[in-house]
Formats: sequence, structure tokens, C-alpha cells
Amino acid sequence: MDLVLGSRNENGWAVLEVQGEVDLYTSSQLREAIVRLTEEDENRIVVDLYNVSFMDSSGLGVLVAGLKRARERGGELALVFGEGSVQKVFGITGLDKIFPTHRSVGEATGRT
Amino acid sequence: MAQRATDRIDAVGSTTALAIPADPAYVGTVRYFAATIARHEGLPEELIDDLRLAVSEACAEAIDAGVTGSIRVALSLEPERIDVEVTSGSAQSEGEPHVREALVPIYRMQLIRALFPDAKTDPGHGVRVVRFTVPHASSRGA
Repeated sequence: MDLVLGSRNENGWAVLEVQGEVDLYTSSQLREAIVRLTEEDENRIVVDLYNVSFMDSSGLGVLVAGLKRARERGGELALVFGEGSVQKVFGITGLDKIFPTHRSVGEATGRT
Repeated sequence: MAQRATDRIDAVGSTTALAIPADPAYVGTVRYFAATIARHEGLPEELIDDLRLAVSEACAEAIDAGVTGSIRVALSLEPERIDVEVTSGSAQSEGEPHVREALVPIYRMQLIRALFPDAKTDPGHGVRVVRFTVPHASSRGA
């Protein structure tokens, strides 16, 4: 199953919306999308995982690498997810303490 | 000839097993297989999510390590528990490790053990095995 990825600008942030399941097979699509944004000098990135129904460690690895890449360029990578399996993965690994996490894109971009 | 996942489902006694090629494209099939059996057994959705994640991580861990050939995922239905066993061949020298981010293998086993604390890995001789137990809702937390 492929991921559905879409990006837009909102309040000075590049918002990368992700839908589907992020695993060993699909995580490369997420990696490429984040790298593409940073190559376009979009280093303030919100990855919206609200509509991600499954994510494993492959996705975590890609997001950690994306966070490092954004911060090396003076930017930030924030995450949006709801309660459920994605939140659980971040909680178990402690990565919810490393990333700025939000409940909505509006909250992440400071729009609301 | 390449194996097809749909060719390799077998059921013996209380055990149902699926063999997939060690290929990232098939890991989603394993999640679907495990969730279907767990749902049939009446497990709650949260526990099914945990099972999907654990079997997915176990298969991905083998593929990350460069295992070639097939990966077998077996679910044995026991009273008040499901025993899960993910078996693959050892990593072959010609196998191409898929892992790109260094911490990913650590996260994989951390997640499996956090979800199912009795999880054990056995590298064995020529075989890699990950085993864990899914307690049924009626016994979990008892």
C-alpha cells in the first residue's frame, strides 16, 4: 500500500500531510518527501500523521533523521498525531519527548 | 520462481502460519493475516493493534538484517493466549540490509518487548526466531 503525501505552506511552515501505513516498505516515500522539502529550503516542517493508521520503527527512523536534518539547517520538525497506535509508538520509544508534538496542524503552526 | 504470499498459508491443529518472501512489500500482508486471526478470536482492537505492530517489527527486523528466502509467521491459538513465532533464515552475506537509520533496529525490539514483555529472540544456527505471547483479553492484566 502506498502512502498518500501532500504538502502545503501554512503560516510559515511546510505542512506534510501523510495518509496510510508507514512501514518498511512505504517509509522511503516519507523520507524522500522530507528530504525534498529541506532541499527546497523548507526547514520548518510539520509532519501531519493524524491520518496515519499504522507506523512502525521504520517511520520513526525516517522522522528522527528528518528532525536532525531540519535542525542542522536551523529549522524544526514538528509532529501532529491523535490518540491511538501512532501516539503509542512515540510514547514507548520516548521520542514524544524529542519531537515537538501537537494535536492539530493549527496548533503546530501557531495558527490557532 | 518467486514465492507468493497467498501460496503459503497452512493450518495444522491450533496453529495457522503464513510464509512470505523476505521483502518489505509483503510485511503489510503479515499484519493483515495476524489481525484477521486475532479479530476472529475476539481480541480487542487495541490488542490487535499491538499484535500488528509486533509481527510487523519482527518481520522488518529480519529483512533489515539482510535475511533472504522466506519469513514464516505462525499463530498458535491456545486457551486464553496466542503464541506467536516469527522464523526466518539467518542473514546471508549476499543479502542487502535495508536499514537506513542506525537506531531503527533498537526501536524494533524495544517496541516488541514493551508490547509483549515475554518476547524472546533466538538467533539459533541458521535460523532467527522471535517468540512472544498475546494474552487474551480475559487474562490480560490479571
